[in-house]
Amino acid sequence: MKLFKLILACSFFVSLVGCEKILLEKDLASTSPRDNFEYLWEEADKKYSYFELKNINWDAIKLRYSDSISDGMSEQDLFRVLASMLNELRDDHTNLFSPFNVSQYYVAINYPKSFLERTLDEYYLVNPNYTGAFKHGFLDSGRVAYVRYSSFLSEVKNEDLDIVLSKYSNTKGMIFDIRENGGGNVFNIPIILERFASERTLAAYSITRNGENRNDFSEPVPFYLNKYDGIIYNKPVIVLCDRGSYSAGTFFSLLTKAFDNIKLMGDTTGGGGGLPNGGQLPNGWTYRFSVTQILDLNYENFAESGVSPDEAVSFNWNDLTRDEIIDRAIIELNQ
Amino acid sequence: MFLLKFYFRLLILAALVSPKVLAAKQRDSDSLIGAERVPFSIYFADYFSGVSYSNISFRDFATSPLFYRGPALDLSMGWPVVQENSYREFGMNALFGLPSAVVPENSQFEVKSPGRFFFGNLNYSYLRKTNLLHSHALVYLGLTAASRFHFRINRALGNNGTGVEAFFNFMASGRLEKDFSRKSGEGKSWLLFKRKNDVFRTLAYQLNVGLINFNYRPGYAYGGFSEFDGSNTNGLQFLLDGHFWSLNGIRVQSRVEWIINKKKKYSNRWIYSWELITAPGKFEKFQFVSHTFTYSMLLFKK
Repeated sequence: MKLFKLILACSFFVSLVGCEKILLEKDLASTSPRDNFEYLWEEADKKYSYFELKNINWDAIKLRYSDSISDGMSEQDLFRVLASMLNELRDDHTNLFSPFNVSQYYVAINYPKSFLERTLDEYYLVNPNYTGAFKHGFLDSGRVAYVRYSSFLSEVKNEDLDIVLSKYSNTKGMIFDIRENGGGNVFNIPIILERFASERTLAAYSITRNGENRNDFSEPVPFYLNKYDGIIYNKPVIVLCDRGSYSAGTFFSLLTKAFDNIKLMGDTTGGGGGLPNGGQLPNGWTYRFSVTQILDLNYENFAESGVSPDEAVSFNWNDLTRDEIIDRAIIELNQ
Repeated sequence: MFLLKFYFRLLILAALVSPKVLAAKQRDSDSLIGAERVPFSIYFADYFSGVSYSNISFRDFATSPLFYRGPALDLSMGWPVVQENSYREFGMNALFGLPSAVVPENSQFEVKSPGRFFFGNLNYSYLRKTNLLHSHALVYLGLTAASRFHFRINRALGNNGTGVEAFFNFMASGRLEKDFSRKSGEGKSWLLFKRKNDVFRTLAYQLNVGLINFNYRPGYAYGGFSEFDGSNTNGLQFLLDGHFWSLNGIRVQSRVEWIINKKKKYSNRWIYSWELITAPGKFEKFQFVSHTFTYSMLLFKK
């Protein structure tokens, strides 16, 4: 009898542990090309944020690429099909990551470059200063400050900004160069821009995909910039941007539109106004695509296609001794 | 943010208050220790401290259809109070795990997707002794309140690389205890040695089943831009924004305990526990299972 009770108790415990098989549903891991294709298409369908704005017929795209999927196809072939499908979104915040390759749309390749570091180093900033994330120096015989921030991935520290802004406090104006800044950490944006703000400023809005319909979005939420309580720079600032100013670079450029003392110069930015969120396929590869949109103060959405400069200036590639965009900015700051 | 603050304040408060309150009440019953062979007497301890090895497995459908599995280490602490007609236990534990995605075998290229997993757990059980099976075993019935907070990191998921969720559960609890104690000189001799001391031994089984299950899970797109208040924006607040409470899901805790006291200065408690959480949330499901082996010591202040 005792043995029976013990067996009964053990059986109960084991059966309870066994019910995790029932409660947890089946394992969805799969290397099947069809499973992975369907999963990726559906995730993008549910969450991608620019179908309507870019007039993308995602259903037609599924039909077109579905024919390329077959059970026996290689992993490289599957990657090529999935990557091509994602590139139909025309979005550099959309990537597919596998152990052997990463897909990229590369919007900047469709436009001319507007920046050559060698020209800057050889003819403008001969002995630059490096402070934290910034490369900087005087231009125009000390009348103009030049500060280059090449990646929003580089951490911006307030103590570094204190040093840089103090050094140029007696200049007539500042050139803040974010050309070919491909983006990074969005938290670096307000740390910089608040040094140019004279008051708390509403600078943009954002909306996030929140439903299965492709135009389901949350209410706009505001993006504020505060006034920095410390060393600020309240003289004219010209921000240089180009097609390589992507993601946080585009975001930064959009926010400058809310400032009277900042002028945007150069080429239209590369876009990338949506926050990219990541996920994983049943075969273990990962992906990301935009799930938000950034809006200007009039609730207009143009940032995904790039933020236009207040003054368009082109780089002349026939004369590599001059950076026409810096030259134009110096003239502007001297007026 | 509010949730985090609340959770940590609760944790600290519990750590400060519980030992004193519970131990004070317990001393009233200390006279029972060793007096007679009362099965529950071996619990009488001011606190317990344990270390566990877990095998955790979870799946967050918001970011991946794959299971993440791996080993985890768990440190626990608690304050049991066993009185003649009641059993109470307040416990807390913190776990650190290294789960990886269970990726199907690809023909050519191995996919690796390692992550980090942290959780904190608070449990309080209050059970009353019943007369069920009184001649065979002790049976307790009651309630358990449990809270739990997860923090997960998987850099491969980019902006979704940090996962946060929380659970609050009110559970029906049942506890069964069977005494297997033996007095000195009793039983068979083992090799040439006779047993010199009393050995108190108890086999216990406890089952907690969630009655009211709250979970705190991300919104539709997992992450998004919440309000940005310039450089005052708190990263953690930004991360937690867009999470929602839901009243749904399942939580079950089941554990078998083997408790031995030989010298009466402390008791050894060996536990095998199994736990399951499913949280459908508002939009995407989260599922978690753990199998845990714990060794803990029931200790006396003296």
